[in-house]
Amino acid sequence: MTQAEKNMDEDIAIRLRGIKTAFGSHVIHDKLDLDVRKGEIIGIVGGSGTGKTVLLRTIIGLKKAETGTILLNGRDPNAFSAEESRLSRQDWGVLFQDGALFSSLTVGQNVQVPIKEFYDFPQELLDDISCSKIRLAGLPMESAKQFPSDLSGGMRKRASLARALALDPAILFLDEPTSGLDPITASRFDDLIIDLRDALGLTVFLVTHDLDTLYKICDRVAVLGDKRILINAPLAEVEKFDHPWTQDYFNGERGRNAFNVSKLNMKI
Amino acid sequence: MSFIEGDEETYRLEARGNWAIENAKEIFSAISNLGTLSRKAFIINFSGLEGLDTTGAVLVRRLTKNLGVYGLVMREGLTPSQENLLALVENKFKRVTAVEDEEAWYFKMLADVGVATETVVSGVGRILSFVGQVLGASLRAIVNPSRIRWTALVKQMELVGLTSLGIVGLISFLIGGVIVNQGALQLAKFGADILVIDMLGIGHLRELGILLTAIIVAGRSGSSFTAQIGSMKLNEEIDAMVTMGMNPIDVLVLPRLFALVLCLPLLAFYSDIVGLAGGALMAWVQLDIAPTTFVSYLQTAISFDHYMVGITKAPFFAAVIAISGCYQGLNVHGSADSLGLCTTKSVVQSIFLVIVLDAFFAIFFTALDI
Repeated sequence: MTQAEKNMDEDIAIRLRGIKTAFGSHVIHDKLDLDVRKGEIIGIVGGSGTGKTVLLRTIIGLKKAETGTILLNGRDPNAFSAEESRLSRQDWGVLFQDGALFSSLTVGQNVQVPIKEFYDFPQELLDDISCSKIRLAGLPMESAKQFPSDLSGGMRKRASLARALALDPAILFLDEPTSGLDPITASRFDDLIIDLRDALGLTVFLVTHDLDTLYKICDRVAVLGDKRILINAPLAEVEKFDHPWTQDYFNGERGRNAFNVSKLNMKI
Repeated sequence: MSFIEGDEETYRLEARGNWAIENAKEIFSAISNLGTLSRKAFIINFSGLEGLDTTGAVLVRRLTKNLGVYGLVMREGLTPSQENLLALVENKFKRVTAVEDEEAWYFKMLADVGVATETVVSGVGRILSFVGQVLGASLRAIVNPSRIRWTALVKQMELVGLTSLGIVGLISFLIGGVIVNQGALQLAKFGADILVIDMLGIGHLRELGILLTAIIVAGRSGSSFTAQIGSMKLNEEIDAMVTMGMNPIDVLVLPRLFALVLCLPLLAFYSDIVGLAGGALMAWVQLDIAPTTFVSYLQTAISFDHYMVGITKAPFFAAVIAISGCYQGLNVHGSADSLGLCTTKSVVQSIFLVIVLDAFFAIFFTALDI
């Protein structure tokens, strides 16, 4: 291995090699390779049923890959001891598609759960941190005392983001964060992700359908199809990529609109 | 390592080290320990920072706010991205003060009593209205059987009836055996150990068989009714049903109610037979009464009425279990906690009601001289 390759390796936050996942005989991914660099926002796109969420769940260890290796920050999570595995949970935060907040806890308590799991902080500090994360995620302070069932879908999503950010993770996994949000809120959400990435150097693994989000915040886009990653490149290259689904997706009417809007924003 | 160091002369503070979540506790206590300061202006220098995350930014805000009580605070030495992070955390922060409860304790006590009374009264009202709705829907379904969802009914009959044969049979068999075993020991003192068959016949056919079966079914099926319907409620499936013009009572409650009303008498009959078989086996082993003798003695000793008394109660118990299971399921709202609470309530309530109802039946049948 040359020095340059070694340096590149250290820059990789997530490395997947030869991943195969299946539900019974139904194969979702086969021989899938993917590299995500540290500090980049990668958008995972693909048609419904191509296994975007399954890929995310495989990386965070909720679903076991049949074959293949996963390296997070250069280490294989499957080789961790139980304690290492527990501690490694601080390194990533996950925003699930439907929020997955604990329904019997208030939003504030939900955000405090991961912090309490790892640190022994005085309650005053816990309240201060959880309120800040809730505000950071764009929720009003009052929602700290509310239960998830009292919140709207979009608010639940932001509360879930606040929880994912609780431990200042190095890698943030977002499963369709802007779906179901109104365009203004979605756009603020995008701004927030960029701000956090710039301030904290986060790596963001983003599963999304939202073309505006892709154009606005993603450094690279990986397209899932035919059970593997078809292309993993900056958006400009992906647009030109010769594959029917990719062409439909980016050069269809909605794709063109998002592209034009992003150009307009750049001019302003 | 000290995270903050103050210089009394120049009003300058130095922030050092890694202001991140892993050091938050120490930084927090360092901030809290700054104590009272007799200064009117402060400069905090952050150029010695090794790192800053959002928790660190929260602590910086805290430090700034604490010092702000005494005078002007200035910050220097922050990198643009750190400034940015601080701005993120600070701009969006506004503390709301909790509104204090100012009512006197005796008012609170009265209010609690009022709330509790209202809960009980409205609870009784809701149960009655639910029973009414279920009865109305049942009558409509009986008059017009095409309203009945046969697939769901058969499926529920399989779940509550067929699959509980194992546990009901096992428990009935054991209890039948135990009654004969213990009863014979006592009755032998009077030299009347053959009477144990009367005891088993009357006790098991009239009371124990049906009561045991009802309690097992309440624990098994009543709880699963609540959990099924409750999780559908949490998932907004019931709301979806209503918007499609389906009545949850027709779709969810009636198949369960009918299935249980049909199956519980069958289960009770099965429990009677298996219980008697358990008793017969024990009588054979312990008292050397051959099964043929057992059966012919049973025929002379036990009238058909005893069996009928037991079986008559079954549909009523079934209705109580199904209605309280479904009612609690539809009562679930909000959280997983509520689902657990309602499932507990449903089982406790149905077992309680079954036993109360059984007591009423005992009085009723005694009055009728059956």
